[in-house]
Amino acid sequence: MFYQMKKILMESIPILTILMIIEIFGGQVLNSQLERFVVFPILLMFIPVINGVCGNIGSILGARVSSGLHVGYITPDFRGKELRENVIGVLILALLTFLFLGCLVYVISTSFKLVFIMMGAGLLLTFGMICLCIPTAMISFSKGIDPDNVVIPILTTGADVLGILCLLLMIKLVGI
Amino acid sequence: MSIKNLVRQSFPLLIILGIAEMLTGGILSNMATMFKDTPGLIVIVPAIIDLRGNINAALGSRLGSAAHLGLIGVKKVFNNETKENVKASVFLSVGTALLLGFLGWLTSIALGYNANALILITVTLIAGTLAGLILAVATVGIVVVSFKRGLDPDNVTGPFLATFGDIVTVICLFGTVILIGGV
Repeated sequence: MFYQMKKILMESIPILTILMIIEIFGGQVLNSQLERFVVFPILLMFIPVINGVCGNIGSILGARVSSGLHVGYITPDFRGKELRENVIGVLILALLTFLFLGCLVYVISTSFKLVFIMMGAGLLLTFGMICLCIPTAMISFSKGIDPDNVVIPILTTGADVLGILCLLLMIKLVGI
Repeated sequence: MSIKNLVRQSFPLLIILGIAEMLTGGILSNMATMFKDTPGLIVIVPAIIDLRGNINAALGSRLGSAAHLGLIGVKKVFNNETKENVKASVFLSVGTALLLGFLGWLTSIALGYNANALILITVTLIAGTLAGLILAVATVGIVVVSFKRGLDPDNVTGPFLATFGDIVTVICLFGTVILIGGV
């Protein structure tokens, strides 16, 4: 049999424990700092959306790259057409999704500043997801760890933590 | 071809789930009063939501790889490979729920909340196990549906579980807190 419960547990428990601790403390920082930074309540609504959408995009990429590594059409050397196509694919996906969400934000708020913040933070975070996904997948696969067990957990937790940073950065840049 | 399929299969899902994500945020803010009544709960909420999504999105990702490897397919979904994967996922849900309850209690004490260890661990254990079971079954369901519709499971399980996982976990947490509060 290809999958063994013991191997899945041995690979998942350490990483999930670390991510749990990051998430507990990340949650604390978020709660204590957020209200100081965020003046407009609508910006608070951006957080779950940006984190969620980018976490989703990251997990699609993670799942696809993991499958590619398992089957062998993606090799753990950061090269190849398949890998490039997957990265371009998620970039297009992110662009379309945040374009749509940007329009939605404009309809709700009629403020281009908010649209820029939403789209900028989302695309920045997508870029972060790609930079986090590919090395994690390649390294874990090279070390004999199933990338399916580690890549998506790291990406979704990463999206939660980095998403707030991207949003705060865009708020600073756009100046609201 | 690969890019086209990826965008076509995932884009509608991302939009729908993005909107669902806003609604979950709404439910969560309604739960805020409940957080105040149960000290320490606020500490574990982000982590328990994240974990449930992580564990089951990883399950979905493994089943996606299994599909690409030809280990599971349209006519052989409920075989030993799937069972082993689901078992591992449920084990992880229960184990991490216990650990999270304990870590959450330690953190609450460190932060000076007047948290009750027994209540926190019971809440995470019941809510975590319940949500874990529902989501593990849902994962296999999504894989079956994507097979039937000719979709690549890798394009749909991740987004679906991350978002659906949030909603299910929030509801389970909500239910458990009401249940415990009534005792």
